Amino acid sequence: MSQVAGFGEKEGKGFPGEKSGRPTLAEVTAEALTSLVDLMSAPVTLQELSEAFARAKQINDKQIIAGIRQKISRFLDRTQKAEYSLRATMTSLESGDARLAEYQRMLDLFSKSLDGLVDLEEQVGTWLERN
Amino acid sequence: MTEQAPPTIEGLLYNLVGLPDAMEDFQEQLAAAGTDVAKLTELKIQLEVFMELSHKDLADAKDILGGEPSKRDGRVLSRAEQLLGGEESSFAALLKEVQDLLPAEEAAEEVAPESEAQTGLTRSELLEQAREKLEASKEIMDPTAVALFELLIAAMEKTPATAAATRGSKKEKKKEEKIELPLEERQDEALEKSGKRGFLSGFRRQFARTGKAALTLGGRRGREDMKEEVLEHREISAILKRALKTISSETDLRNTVDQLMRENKGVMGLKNSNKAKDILALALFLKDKGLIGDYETGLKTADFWDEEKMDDVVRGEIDGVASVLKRLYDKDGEDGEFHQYIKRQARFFAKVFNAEVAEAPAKVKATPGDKILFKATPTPPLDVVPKVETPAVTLGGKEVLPTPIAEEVDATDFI
Repeated sequence: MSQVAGFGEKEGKGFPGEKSGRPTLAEVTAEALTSLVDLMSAPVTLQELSEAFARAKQINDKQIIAGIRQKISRFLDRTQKAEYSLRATMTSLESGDARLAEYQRMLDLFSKSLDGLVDLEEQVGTWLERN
Repeated sequence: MTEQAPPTIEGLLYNLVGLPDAMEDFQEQLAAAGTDVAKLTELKIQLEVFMELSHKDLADAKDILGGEPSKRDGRVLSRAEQLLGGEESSFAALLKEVQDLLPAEEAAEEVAPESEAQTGLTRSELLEQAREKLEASKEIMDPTAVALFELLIAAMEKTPATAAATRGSKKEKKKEEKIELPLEERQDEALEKSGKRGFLSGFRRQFARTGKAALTLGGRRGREDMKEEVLEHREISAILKRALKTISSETDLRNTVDQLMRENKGVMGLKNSNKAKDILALALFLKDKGLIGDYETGLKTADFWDEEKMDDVVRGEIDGVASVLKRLYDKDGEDGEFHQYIKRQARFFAKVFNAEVAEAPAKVKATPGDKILFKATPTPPLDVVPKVETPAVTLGGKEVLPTPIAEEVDATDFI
């Protein structure tokens, strides 16, 4: 990634809604395709992180739980970024493009996992605040 | 000219969710910059611009999503708010860290106006004070300096306070609780607080520079008078500079001008190229006259344009500049510094527009109200330069830069 690198060096033909110096649509599209891996690993990660949180709660280890929260947050950042870049790519495609349905199917598939991760992040945060 | 697509919610959220990554990037750049002043200064500018862009992204995203975003989108918004939130936000803390790393002399530009601005005055009160001081100093000040101050005050009066001014409202409130101190005491206080040994000496160096400029401008008066004049000049300038800083900044414009200044060719394909050119001309002119101190302050001066009001404001500004130019013509004579300035600017603008420029004649005749023409030929490839238009600018009611940039370059046509 780099939103910052290359700042001010582009010609203003940016990602929709963006100013010059931000990623171009082509870059975002490329990123979306490569970051599908992130989306695909979301269900596995959700399960792993949920189990890790449950174990850490049993032994009341705040440090581990804080680490888990950090992992959840960063993983969510990455997967949400992938999600938005995919969505942005979809808005740039023609309505009849065959890829649209495929991308939509993927997004729907992982939507539940992403919501689950957001819930888990919230639970972990609440636990840390209380303890 | 390249048109920007309207913002999409996906694009806005994409940027906002990337803020933690961006923060890491900036931290890495900070670590890599070490004590390199140029890199730190560049990083500071990048960080400021990035923060403004992100603030705008956040505001736009909130507008589009309305009051009830989905849980996932809401998470992104609230995280962005935390990172961009207030003065204690992560980005603000990082910016402060960068500023603190800049040497005292560099930081003086940041600290001095800030400390001088601890006046407890609102924007309108600042303006009022600037007007009063200007009125009181007119007798002893060089007419050129008076004209420039009038121009700046007029610009500020016309410029609407917008979003960025609102963002600065917390600072304004804090300032209102402060008690005004005389300039020297404020300088001392700033020195005490900052703990920066170089600050006062930096200020003195600035003072020396300003004094030199005033001597050049005034010419006929004695040294003591000049010192007094410089003090007034410096104080008014500081007040105006600070007031300008509190007025809204326009990110597109800043990017454009920034790019222009750094690359000397960046107007092509950018949205506000004509405006940027006008503003660049104004900023360069003020800088050349010593009213604004350096490149960065020049950018800040250019910040206060609001895109919505751009045309009216810029036209007004350029008219104002043109009237100052006219006075300089009247005062300066054929061989004066202003004519030299025009020649330099002709070459500079030619460079900006990637055009050839002929050597200007040694002497340039001018009659107030005469047309000033600037002809230049854009030479870059057409796919890089869709179209460059010159603005219609008036001098004494007449157009001064009306010629489309499409013909031969001839700086001798300047007058």
